[in-house]
Order: sequence, then structure tokens, then C-alpha cells
Amino acid sequence: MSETLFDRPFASMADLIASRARERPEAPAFAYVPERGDERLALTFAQVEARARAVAARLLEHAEPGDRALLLFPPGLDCVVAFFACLLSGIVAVPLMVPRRTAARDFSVAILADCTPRLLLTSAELVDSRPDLTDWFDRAGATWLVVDAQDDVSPAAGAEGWAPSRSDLALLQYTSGSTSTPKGVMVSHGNILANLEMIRRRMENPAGAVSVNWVPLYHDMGLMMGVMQPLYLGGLSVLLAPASFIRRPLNWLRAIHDYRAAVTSAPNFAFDLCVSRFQPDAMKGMDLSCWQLALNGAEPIHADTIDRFNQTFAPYGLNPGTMYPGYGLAEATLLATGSQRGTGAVRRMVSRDSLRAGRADPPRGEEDGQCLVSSGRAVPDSSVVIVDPDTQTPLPPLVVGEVRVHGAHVAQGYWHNAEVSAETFPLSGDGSSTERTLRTGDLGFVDDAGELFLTGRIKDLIIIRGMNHYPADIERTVQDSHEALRRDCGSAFAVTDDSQGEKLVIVQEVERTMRQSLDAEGLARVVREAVTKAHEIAVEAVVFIRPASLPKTTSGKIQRGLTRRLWTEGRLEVIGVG
Amino acid sequence: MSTKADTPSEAEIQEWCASYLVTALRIKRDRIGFDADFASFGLDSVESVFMVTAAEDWLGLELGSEAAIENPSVNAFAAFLMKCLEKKAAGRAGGR
Repeated sequence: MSETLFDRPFASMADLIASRARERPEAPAFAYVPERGDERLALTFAQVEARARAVAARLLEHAEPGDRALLLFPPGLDCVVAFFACLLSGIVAVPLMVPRRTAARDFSVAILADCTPRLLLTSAELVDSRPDLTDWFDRAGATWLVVDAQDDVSPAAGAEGWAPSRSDLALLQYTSGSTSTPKGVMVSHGNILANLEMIRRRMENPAGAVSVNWVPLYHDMGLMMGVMQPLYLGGLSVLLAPASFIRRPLNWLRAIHDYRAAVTSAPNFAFDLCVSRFQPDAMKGMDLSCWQLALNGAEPIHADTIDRFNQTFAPYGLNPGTMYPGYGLAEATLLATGSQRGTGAVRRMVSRDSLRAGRADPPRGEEDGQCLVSSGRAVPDSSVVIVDPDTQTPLPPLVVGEVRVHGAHVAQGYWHNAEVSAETFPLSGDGSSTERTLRTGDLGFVDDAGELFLTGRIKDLIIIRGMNHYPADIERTVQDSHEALRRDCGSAFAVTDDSQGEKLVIVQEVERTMRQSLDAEGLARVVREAVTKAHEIAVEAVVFIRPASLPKTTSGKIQRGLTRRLWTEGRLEVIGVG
Repeated sequence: MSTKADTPSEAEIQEWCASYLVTALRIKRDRIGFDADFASFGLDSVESVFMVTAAEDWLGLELGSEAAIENPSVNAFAAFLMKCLEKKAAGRAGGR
């Protein structure tokens, strides 16, 4: 194990997979810990490469490099082998969440239409347990193939010859875009390789570091930190099922202890969950002193969460410097900024009043103070600049503006969406550079040391438990749920609650004819049921307001930011809350 | 929470389920209709997994994480749990 693992440029992710298999053939690469029982499946670097190569050969019998393959897998190692097979064969992977049996609406339809997959890769387990999906597979219009990580392959099997290059696409990440108009972020082999090195250097991750991850692999954080960074480091990645973590959050900590893991990644809510489900019995004998870096990202980071987590688990050897706030997005492959390893979260007290005016002044008294957690500094060989969202001119430190990211990790654009791509990924310079610029749509400021503090978003995006939701989608669901609710006259937004992250509030106009007879509680129940079923999130409050009282611009656009402010200040014309 | 009850009746399971929802979702007991969909109380997928886990701990059962999504009301979930308890009891009796 040495830093020589990183001292050469890789031709592609295929080259990286082959290199690790050659350099560390017998070392454990991936392990999957099921929720119950001990049958833990593990693969070495040589095994994972051989199996992926055999699958790659099968893929190339049915498709060509550049074709898209949907990845539809339950948690486990089959997904890793299938993903690597795509990387080896130059087929573009499209990781997707498995549609729920009971989903009221099928959100994947628009994604299928957008990326027109040639292949659909899945596992025998999913085919057996979800016969209802066969219909879905058929509708997808793609050839479907079953991938099994345990299939033994002869070492000679596999495709040789053609290999992808850094400029070839590796995957389409559909975490952006509303459900009606999905946006597939085009991530190239070169993007991934660049971001892997940036992450390694910013986090100071040593070769061979062990990771434990439960974030789903269809999420950019799960795929980059649970699969690719461990491959890059040549260290073991231990995967848990997301549901296993949600059911028993302390299982995550148990796996960290068992495998003496150093690196983890999870959204802020995961740390809250560990605290609320803390039980001394379940923690018996645990020693977390091995845990060196806990990336906290993908949703707003709260100082209270960090304090409670550190306090609760300090008796089990947790180092307070382990918490590692970061900021990332699929449009930058994953990580754009990260903290200093080992120092814990950097905080800054700022004036609430000044923040509303777009500045980060010191607080004028206790009431006015708000504690912000830094998301760290730009990863190496990249820049993070705060600009005026309208003019795109850079702003000085401590002034709030749009976060702009530049570097070789910035993705190639959105799949088949030239218009939005040109807006979000403006070309810098003469366009010959491999480095691109990204307008993130996030708002924040930097301090004099270059620490990034996020304060909000230009886009009305709602992020709950690390998942992105678009207000327009939720508003449509609300208005479809009952005839008393006026179309295009509702607003969905998130309010931040200091302890528990973002919560969804819906403000909705009711029809004039229904005003007198309004059963707010009954109607709210209908709205809640529809939203929870369609989007899998709970609604904190459903607020019914007088017709024609929702804030809109003169051109009729819903002013969600203003609605949020009026709601928090109690200034809406409310006729019922449920 | 981890103590196993003597096999409760279906009505007791329904009552447990209702009081679980009251505590977890901070809603009033009289708002809970036994045939209403869990989603109408705002029980989302993560919260429903918590409820399944709590039911497992209480009854000493092993359930799928989507058990409350697939049996999405107090009555349906209680009936499902009752069936699981009976199956478990039958399995134990048959094994001896």
C-alpha cells in the first residue's frame, strides 16, 4: 500500500478497475452486510474485475459502447458488478431507484423516455421478489439482463480490445430535474477520475482506507463514496442496505466498529437518526476510534446535529474531529468543497438581519445570531467563486451570492437538453479546456479564509433527507388530489427547523365556492395522503388560504420565497390549517 | 420495547398501532381512522420503516421493511401482524 497507487493518470475508469485488480488482486474490495444473518458476500479486487469483465462481454452482445443501460438493483454487490461492467464496456450506466410496488405514480417513465436505454440490468433477487416489475421491464423497451455478483467466471472470459477514454460518458445521474422534465447529468470517465483525486487529496484519504456506506447507489453520494472512492483508494468498501440503516441506525456504527472503518458519507439526517435511536445496549463493546472522517453533505448541515452526535458517541471513542462537512452535487460529479480533515466543523455566527440583506455581518446581540456550519473549501485543482446571480460578477468575501464551481469535475451538461445545459454550464474561455464552469443555483458566501457557507438556493428546490424534490411536482400532486384546490394557485416550500432539518409546508388556495364549507382537517388529510404517496415525504403543515391571495409576480409566476416569508411571519390570509 | 408480549389480540394490536402514530407523528388520537391510509396521517416511507421496526421489537417478529406500506392502514397492518403471529406460532408448534 503506498501513494504510488495515485501517481499516474488513468486512461479511463476501465483502466482504474484493471489497475487495482492487478495491483491488489487478493485484497478485499467490496463486502455486503445484510440486515440479518451473517452470510456476508465479499469480493476481492481481482474477483470484482473478472466478474464485471464477463458481464461486460454479455452487454456488448446486446448493445454498443455509448448505449444506455438502466441499473435497477436492490442493495448488494450485483449493482457494483453491473456498474463496473458498464465502465469496462463503454456503456453508459443510468442508476435508478427501484419503483415501489405501491407507487401512486411511476416517476421513471419520463426518465426512460429521456435516456432511451438499450439495456436494463437487474438481479435475480429483484425479478423473483417483484414479479410486478416484469411489466415495467417490458414497457421500458430495453433488453433486460440479470447480473449476479456470485457468478463464477473463468479468468479467460471477457471483452478485450476496445476501451473507453476519459472523454467518454460513464453515467447519467438523474438526481436533478423535476419529474416531468428530468435532467440527466452527463458524467464522463474523466470527470469521475478528476473528482476521485480531488476527494482523495482534500480528505487526505490514505491508500487502503476502509469505508462503510449505506447511502443508495443510485444517489451520487452513494456511488462516488461507496463504490468509486474506495476502488480508487484500493480499500475495502462495506455496503449496507439503506433500509437496514433506517430500521436500525446503530447497525451503521456497528459495521464501522466491526470493519475498523475510517471513512463514511451520509446526509445530516443520518446523524440525528443515530442520536434519536441511541440505546446503550446496542452500543455495548463498540469502539469508534477508528472512524476518522464522516462526510456530512447532500443536505443542509446543522451545528446542533453535530454537537448532539459528538456528545452521544464520545464515550464510544468517537473523535469530535471526525465530522467532516462538505458540499457537492451531481453536476460536479460529487464533491465541490470539503473541510480540513480532523478539525471538525468550522462555525460562524452571523447576523440574521444582515443575511436577509445578503451580507454575513457579525450578530448585533444574541437574538440576531445564527450559527452557520462551513461546508469547507474548494477541492484541489478547482475553484469556488461567489458571484452576483444576475451579472455573474465575482463578489467580495462575506457577501451572499450564487456559488459557481470550476474544474475538471464539472460534468458535461444535461443529456439532450442543450438549452438548460448552456445556462447551467456556461463555457469558460475558448471551450478547449477540459475544465468547465457550473452555476450551482445555490446561495452562499465565503469568508476570508475561503470557507464556504451555504445560506439558501436560487432554485426553489426542496431537499429532504438528501433527496431533491421540485415544488412544481408537489404542487401538481396537491391540486390533483381534490377539486376544491385551485390549479396553479399553490406553493410548496421547505422551512428549516433548527433541530430536524427541512420540513415541507404547502400553501394552497381553495375555490371560492368551497370557502364557507371548508373542512380543513379532512382536506389536509387528502393532501397529505397524496403527497406522501407520490413523493415519499411527510407534510409538516397544509395551509389553506383565501382565493387570489397567493403571492405571484405580475406575469403570474408563483413567488415561493415570498410565500415562505409570509407564512413564517404569520401574514398569509389563512382560512384553515391542517 | 424489546419485551415480548403474550400474544395480543387484533384489537390490542390496532390500539398499539394507533398510539404509535399519535406519538410518532404528534397527531391527536381522534384523528386516526382505522381504515384511513397511513399516508393521510403523513406517515412517509422512512417513518413507516420506524413503525415496522417498533412492531418487530414489540411482537418478536421479523417483517419486511415495506410491511406498513403494503398494509397501509391500522386495520390492514394489525390484520397482517396477526397473521404473522399465527404463522410463527404454527411454525413453532410444528417444529416440536
